[in-house]
Amino acid sequence: MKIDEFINSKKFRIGLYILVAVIILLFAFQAGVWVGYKKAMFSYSWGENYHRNFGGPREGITRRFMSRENFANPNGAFGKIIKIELPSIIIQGEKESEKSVLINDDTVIRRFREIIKKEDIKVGERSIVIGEPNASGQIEAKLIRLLPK
Amino acid sequence: MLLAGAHQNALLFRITIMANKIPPALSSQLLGKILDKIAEEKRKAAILKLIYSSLGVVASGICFVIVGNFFRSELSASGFVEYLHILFSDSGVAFLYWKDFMLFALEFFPVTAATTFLLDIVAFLGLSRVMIQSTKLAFVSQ
Repeated sequence: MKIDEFINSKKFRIGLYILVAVIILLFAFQAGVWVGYKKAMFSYSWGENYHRNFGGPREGITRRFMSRENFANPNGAFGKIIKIELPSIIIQGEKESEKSVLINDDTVIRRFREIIKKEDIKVGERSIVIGEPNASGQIEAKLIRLLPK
Repeated sequence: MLLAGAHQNALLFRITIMANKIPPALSSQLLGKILDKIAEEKRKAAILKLIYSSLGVVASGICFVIVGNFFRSELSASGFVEYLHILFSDSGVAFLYWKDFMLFALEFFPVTAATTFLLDIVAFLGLSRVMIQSTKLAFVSQ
């Protein structure tokens, strides 16, 4: 069989589809493992530092948090600002536990089109935060977008 | 050897006689009847398939509304809609911290609700296809 015939054959096309499907599947699996690991690490440090970040009891919170089998998302937060203790703010999501968000000098804070200072943030505002987790169970914010009510 | 050959010939002879006994007019009538019966059975099977697929289409249509609402509420609760907005409004920041933005999308996207919604769409489209094919078989191609 010539190479041209083989390349144009149905068997080759099916083989190629299977290969692409396997690659996508492996990629999705690897992404799942990676995201799961990051979530587990963040949830662990969130529980370990709960008393420091939120001022609650250390024991019990970790157990309660873990028992829900719902690890927190470490790269962002979405919800209402319930407490401001600069340089950090606490955000309570609709379906997630409260998260401590750390604001540093590089954090971009926006309300509508304008860039605002961290002092202008108010309790009760809805916000979406994108950042990365640190070892203390906080999210170091890169962008805080304050949303209209 | 001779006897065995004779026996085989006798069998062939008998079949030939049987075939010759069927009159040509009757055989064409019989063939017509058989074909009609096959067509009738096909039509019955198509009607049955049409009933089942119609029920499936109605069920998946109802599920479409329920699952669609669930997906929409999950999307708004997760903040994924706002995330899509800020991808456009703060594209500069999104480009600078693309890794964190990508991870946010992976973590916050409501996968379960989206999968259920897509499965329902696939079921609806598949059953609609079967329903149209069955309708054609049952009523159009007579």
